[in-house]
Amino acid sequence: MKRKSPVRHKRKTRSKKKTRNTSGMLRNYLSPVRIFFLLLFIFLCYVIYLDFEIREQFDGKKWSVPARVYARPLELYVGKPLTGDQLEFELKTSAYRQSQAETGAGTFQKHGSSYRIVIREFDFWDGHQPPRYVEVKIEDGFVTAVRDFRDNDDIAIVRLEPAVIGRIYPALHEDRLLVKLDDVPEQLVKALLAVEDRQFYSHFGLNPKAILRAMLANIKAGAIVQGGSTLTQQLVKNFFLTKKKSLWRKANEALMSVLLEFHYEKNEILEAYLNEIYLGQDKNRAIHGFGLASKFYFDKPIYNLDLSEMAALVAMVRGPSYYDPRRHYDRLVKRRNSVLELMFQQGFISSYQELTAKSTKLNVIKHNSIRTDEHPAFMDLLRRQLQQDYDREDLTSEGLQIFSTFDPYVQRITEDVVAQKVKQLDSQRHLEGKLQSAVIVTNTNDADVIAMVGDKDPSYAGFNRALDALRPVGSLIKPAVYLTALLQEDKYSLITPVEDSSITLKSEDNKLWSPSNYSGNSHGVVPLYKALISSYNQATVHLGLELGFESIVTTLRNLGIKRDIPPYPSMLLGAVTMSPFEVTQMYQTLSSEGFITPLHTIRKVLTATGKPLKNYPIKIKQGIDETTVRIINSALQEVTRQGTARSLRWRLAKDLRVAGKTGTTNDTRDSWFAGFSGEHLIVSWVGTDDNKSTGLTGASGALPIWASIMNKLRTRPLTYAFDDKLDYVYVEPKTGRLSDEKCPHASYLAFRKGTEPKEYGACPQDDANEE
Amino acid sequence: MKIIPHLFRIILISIIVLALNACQAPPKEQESGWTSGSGEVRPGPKTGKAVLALLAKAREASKRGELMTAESQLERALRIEPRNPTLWLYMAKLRYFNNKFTEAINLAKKALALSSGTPSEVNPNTLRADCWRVISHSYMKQGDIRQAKIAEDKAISLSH
Repeated sequence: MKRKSPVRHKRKTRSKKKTRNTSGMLRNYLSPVRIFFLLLFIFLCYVIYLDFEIREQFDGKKWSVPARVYARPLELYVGKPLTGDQLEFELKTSAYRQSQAETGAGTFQKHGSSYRIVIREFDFWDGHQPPRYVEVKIEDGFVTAVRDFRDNDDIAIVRLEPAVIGRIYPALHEDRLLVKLDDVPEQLVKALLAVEDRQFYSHFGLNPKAILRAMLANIKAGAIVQGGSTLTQQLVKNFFLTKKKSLWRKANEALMSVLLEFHYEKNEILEAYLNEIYLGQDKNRAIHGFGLASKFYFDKPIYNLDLSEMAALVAMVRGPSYYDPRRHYDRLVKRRNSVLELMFQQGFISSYQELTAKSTKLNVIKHNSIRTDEHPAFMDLLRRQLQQDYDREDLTSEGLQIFSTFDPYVQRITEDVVAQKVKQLDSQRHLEGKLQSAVIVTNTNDADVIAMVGDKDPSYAGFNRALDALRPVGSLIKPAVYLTALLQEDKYSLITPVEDSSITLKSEDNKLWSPSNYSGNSHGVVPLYKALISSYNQATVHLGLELGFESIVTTLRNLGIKRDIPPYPSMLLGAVTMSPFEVTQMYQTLSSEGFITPLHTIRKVLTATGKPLKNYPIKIKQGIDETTVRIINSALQEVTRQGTARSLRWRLAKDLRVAGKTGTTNDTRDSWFAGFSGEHLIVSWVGTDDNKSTGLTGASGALPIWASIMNKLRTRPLTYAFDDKLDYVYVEPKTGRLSDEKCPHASYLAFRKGTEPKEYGACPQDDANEE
Repeated sequence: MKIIPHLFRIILISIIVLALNACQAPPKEQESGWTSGSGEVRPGPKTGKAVLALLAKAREASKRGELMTAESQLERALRIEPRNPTLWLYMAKLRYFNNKFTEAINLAKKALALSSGTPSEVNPNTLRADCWRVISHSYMKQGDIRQAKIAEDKAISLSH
């Protein structure tokens, strides 16, 4: 302060002359000393700011790593339903290469019906799986042998490592696979230093000698031919700055480099460099760091690279696009060879090593057959479910590993079928390309969502109809009505007579409502199951009125529907709107015999280093007692044999027993089918976004799509659940009496012991279905 | 005081180790109650090799006290044999040892539902009695003595 006082004094004396000489005042204000201190102050502030920035970047979010989403791993064991096609598809999805002889992890060979696979090592959530040498034999659609082809031992069960099916990116789409300096081969580091920064371990962030040398070379050439940047400078450049070359940027870079060197050890900077440097582009995904680059180009972990590959990666640092091995192979090889020469000149490798590496062909892998960022509908659901537990920032930057329920093979089947069938149906009905579709496939056992399509173009990432299209569900709601009846065990069984006759009642807006059957006919008194399997509207309304709307709403709730459902008469015929996802949840509970399991896409979430972060265990809750659900399921099986979905008898493979329900809404605006085998549940919907009539019923629109997918899955048929409390008998549809098995319209149904029919009825030759 | 719950946990874990110990071999004889740690409901003779191998892994993991890993192996087994009630029962027990009593009850109910849903390989009543014991103990832990008693009575009536 003392030093400054003369200045203050000066100001006082000069101020007297204020009015006379303003320019003189200005000159005094801007005295050289003041300017110097002012600039120094600004500069120091700026340095502090830069220092803060660089440390923040380095310590905090050093590298943002997007969350990686994995498919479910394929389990291989004797008895597993699997075809050769499916296995090959799975292998290709995980970027396995077919080879003639065993050539290391990530390759497979085919010998007739046997496959020899060298499975890559992988850190699963429940432990490390080392590389496995597995021979799998497939006969008649089943795995018949799994053994280790090295030591010839049988293997009880082994997993293929799961394929990466997507990433959750921040705005910039940077991707990387973090490596520790210890994991990086010494030769790679040496190659890098030889080429990019020989004095790395001795300079202070800048290398004046190198800058001078580069300047001279550039002046000589009349253009910028050589850079004098140290690794530290390059790292800083990658961290923050744009590609623009300017003096200002250079100065910033230099300052930050010195600051970085001041704060951090050389090895920390080197490790950061190895993870940060930009090494290629995969569509809109930027490949950062040597860890990911070695996967991306050579399909190897970094510590397995050979000398030639290391030199090639180092060669690419200068221009990943200019030296892209997939597009400019020869150009890259030429530069790789000069890298090797430099290494030899600096004594890092012997001349023998140099020559061998130079003559080695680079084995650059083809692009993964599965493009990441596909399957937008599934990824959309997964993202929504993740966001219930994680911040967006954690998902896009912390490198979380997300193990999903996604089944790549089932997804491909579903996508193919939807794309093909919707086109076909659209042109049949002259809908001018307006027909849309949504399909969800789940495992009945654990409610894993394994495939999902939300648009007729499955790769289109727009409106996700599977989750967001709210449509009236039509007759899909009927099982809830009949289930409500069957829950009153003293009053109802599947053969309780119900009235299918015209009826008029007041609707919610006080208008008179007279529902009719799809065919326009009434069928008189029919057994309860017949009204369900043939989807009689009038009988359902009669039954619903007897039961009361509230009790049906309760049943829907116990089937897992969370949406508020207004208890109005029109609800009985499915005027309520739901998304395909909600419908799937409802049928999931039926398929798992009354146990509600929330549909989910996530099995496990691990941190970037493999620590379990969150477990998503199987959660179940009994919504409805299993015996009653088994009764309704026996009727839903009959829907597919005798009812509105009886075309499944010829659409499906002969022994593939399934249960399900068609749904059609007014003027054929929505066509639904929901149904399940013993292993898979599929819900399919078709309709137009603007609610036009399509002319498609549940049976003619959604059903063919459903059947086509079900046929292609390797799925367990539905079995009649054995239950101490139940008896199964054949009944006929007119009176609900016992029937001979051979009667053409006989149905095999479940009854609580003692409630089954005792007398035989006729064997009717005709039958009436709706829809 | 803190040592008691800790001890209790160790005892519980060793019980589950014993429970899963029984998983490898098909049953020779039926033994009594799961809390006694003496023996267990075992997977039926039709249980596949893959599932048995996973159960063995689950057993090893629980021996090391890694209940999460044990659960993972059980989940894999369940995906292969989703209608095997014994696997659901084991899962219920694991949840019980993780102090997730409501979940344990639900899983035991699933095992019960499947105990009649699958033609029996093991005596279904032994399995059912065990399920009811899990349910009874879980209710007890939750302080619902009435439900615990009802479940216990069912277990006893099935054991005779």
